[in-house]
Amino acid sequence: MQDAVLMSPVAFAHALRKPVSGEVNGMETALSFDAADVEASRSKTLSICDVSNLNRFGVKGPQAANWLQTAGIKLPETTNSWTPQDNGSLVMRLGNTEFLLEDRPENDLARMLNDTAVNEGGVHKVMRNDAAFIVSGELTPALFSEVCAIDLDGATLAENRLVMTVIAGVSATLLKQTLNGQSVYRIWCDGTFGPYLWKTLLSIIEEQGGGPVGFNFYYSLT
Amino acid sequence: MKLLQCPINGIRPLSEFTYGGEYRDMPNPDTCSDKEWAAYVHYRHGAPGVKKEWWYHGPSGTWFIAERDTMADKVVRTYIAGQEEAK
Amino acid sequence: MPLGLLKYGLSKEHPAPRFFRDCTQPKKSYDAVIIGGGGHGLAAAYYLAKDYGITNVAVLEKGYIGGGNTGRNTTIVRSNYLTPEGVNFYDASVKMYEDLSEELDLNLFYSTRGHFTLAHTESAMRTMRWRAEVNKHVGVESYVVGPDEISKACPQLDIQCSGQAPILGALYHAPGSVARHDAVAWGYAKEADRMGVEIFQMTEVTGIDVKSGKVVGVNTSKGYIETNRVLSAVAGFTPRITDMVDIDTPIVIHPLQACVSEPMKPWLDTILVSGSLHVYVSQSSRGELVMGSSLDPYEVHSTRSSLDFVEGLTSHIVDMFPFLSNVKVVRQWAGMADLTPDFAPVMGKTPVEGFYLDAGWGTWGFKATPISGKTMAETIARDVAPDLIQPFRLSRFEDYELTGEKGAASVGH
Ligand SMILES: Cc1cc2nc3c(=O)[nH]c(=O)nc-3n(C[C@H](O)[C@H](O)[C@H](O)COP(=O)(O)OP(=O)(O)OC[C@H]3O[C@@H](n4cnc5c(N)ncnc54)[C@H](O)[C@@H]3O)c2cc1C
Repeated sequence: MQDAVLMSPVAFAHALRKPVSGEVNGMETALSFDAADVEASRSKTLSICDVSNLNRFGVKGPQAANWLQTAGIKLPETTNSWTPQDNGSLVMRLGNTEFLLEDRPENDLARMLNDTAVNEGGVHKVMRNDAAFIVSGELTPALFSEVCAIDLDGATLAENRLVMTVIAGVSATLLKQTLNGQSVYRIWCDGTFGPYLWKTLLSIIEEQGGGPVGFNFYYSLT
Repeated sequence: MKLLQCPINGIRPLSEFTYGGEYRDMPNPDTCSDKEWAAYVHYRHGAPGVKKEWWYHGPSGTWFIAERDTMADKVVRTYIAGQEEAK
Repeated sequence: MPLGLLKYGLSKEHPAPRFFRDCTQPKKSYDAVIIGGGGHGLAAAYYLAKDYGITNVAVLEKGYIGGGNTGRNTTIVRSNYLTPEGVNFYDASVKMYEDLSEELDLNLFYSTRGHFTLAHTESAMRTMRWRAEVNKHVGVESYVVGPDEISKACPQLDIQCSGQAPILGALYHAPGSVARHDAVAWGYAKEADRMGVEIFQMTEVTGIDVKSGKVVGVNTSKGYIETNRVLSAVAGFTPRITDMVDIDTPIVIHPLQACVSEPMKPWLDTILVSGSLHVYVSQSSRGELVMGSSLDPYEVHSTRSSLDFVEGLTSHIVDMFPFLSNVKVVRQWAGMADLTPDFAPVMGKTPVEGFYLDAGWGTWGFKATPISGKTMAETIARDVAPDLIQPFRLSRFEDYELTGEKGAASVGH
């Protein structure tokens, strides 16, 4: 039997663009779509990147917050906000008692938590199968105004706020973070909607003169 | 009604929500008669008025209560079930 | 404006014949009072007079006749339902419709077009086969057809539906028809009036007088009327009437919307319904496309209509007929649909003696107008509901004997 390699939930939608693919975190994904300078200029105009392969850990329940704190994790204080850990991992508070953690490729926090057995009541692991994207560029507001019913400019996503809304008809979680010195938007949605959301966003992005960028653009593994 | 206030996520377009029907108290299935149970299962109060209803905010998975005038289609207030005093 | 028309319009002695007398003040008492001057109430009045000679009857209508769902529906008449009791009942109605223009001496523009219920998935195909078998068993002409036959009947239809939801086949129902809905109400009103029934417009029932479990009269905006028999045929207003007599029902009210396009030369012969795309469409004798969709998603007691509705509907119509993208929608409106959990009506007697209910017609009651009028007339005249409508009795909910009509009624009307 071969070792199974997962494919990004968006892999089939990428394939049309013939990206350079590779495996990161046990998932086959698009590492680059074009030359580095082309991708860099796209990311300034408008771009989308599939980062579904980042490790994630979901947990909920009345004791979930305690359990995470005991593991030494810094938690956001209110619902619908997020906070970075010192190592760069994101911790999002999706509800009073529900959390989502996401690692950078070089971190191991989510992986470790996934491997930890939960032996107490009031803590429930949540299986995640997100499609996750990074959207960046100065035309992002124009993109969101076409696919979001609420205004994501201004205060809505300021100061570590997190928003759960509908993007192009798909329920999604959104936040704004600084990555490699660049201000970018992060989007998570159910993996089965991933290809649809990718295609829909990409078609608008290309209309606006932008395009796709690969995983290596943000998380260079060299 | 085009916008609805989710008690957790704020004002959102109606397209983010699903209607869950009128809020109703369940009779005790161990002690109520068959007739009472059938009435609970099937019958609804269909006349217009200000009603207490279940609504669901899909993107965040939040169930909450809206008090709504079903004739004028205007929402009086919304709150999480059991937390109406806090509002 | 031609002078003749002006003179005609201003003339007190209106030269055009009236369809029914202009009744203003009800008498002190009637043998039966019918609440609601829609097709159902007027048909019941007509058959009470015609079949049972009961003519001392008042029909009370709070607005104008046919101004409720009767004048708001998309006029599809068919009998290709899913349950044997449903198919039998609606088939009886279709047969009555076929001769109704003659019987009422009024052209109802009853036009048999053939009706396709499109299937875009294997599971929908399975339901179509099931319906075809039930229909055949009861003697109703329905069968499953493939994409070629659909294209032949409607070459304009994009069988691929713009690639979104390719059509795999359809249930074809030859007797499927459309009719002019106002004419149905007016025809029944005219003939009922001729036999002595009194029709009161702008007359609202505000209360029902019940003594020791029996109806003794009704309160109206024009005073009290004594009567021992009351029929409620008020569609979207049913819960307000049943509250007057303290009867519980499962009926809830959701708006149902429809719209028409600008008129075109005739090109669409058939009636097309797609459950997956939530649309149905036919072309009226005026050339307008009559289009409808599924119910509004939550309870509202008003007839406002919305932009969301036309937006959603037209995007699916354009999937089916890309060439319609330049055609304009010229009118849209809504009715209040009285829904039941099993997509079948509530008909017959109630726990209150002398109070009869004809309700729960939701999105599908226009086609039942003749048969419901006839069977409710029998129920009132004999105080016994005929076998044909026994499956639709109110007590079925307490007995957990619901019908299983959802598969055929939810979008199809
Ligand atoms: C948009 C739409 C599309 C539809 N399409 C179809 C279709 O294609 N095929 C089909 O078979 N069915 C269809 N239907 C359903 C169909 O229209 C109805 O089921 C049917 O017309 C009901 O007729 P009715 O006479 O019972 O009610 P209505 O025609 O609604 O008449 C009820 C009357 O009662 C009056 N009333 C109410 N309260 C009082 C009171 N207190 N006192 C006095 N009068 C009162 C109202 O003013 C109204 O005129 C559709 C409905 C809608 C809204």
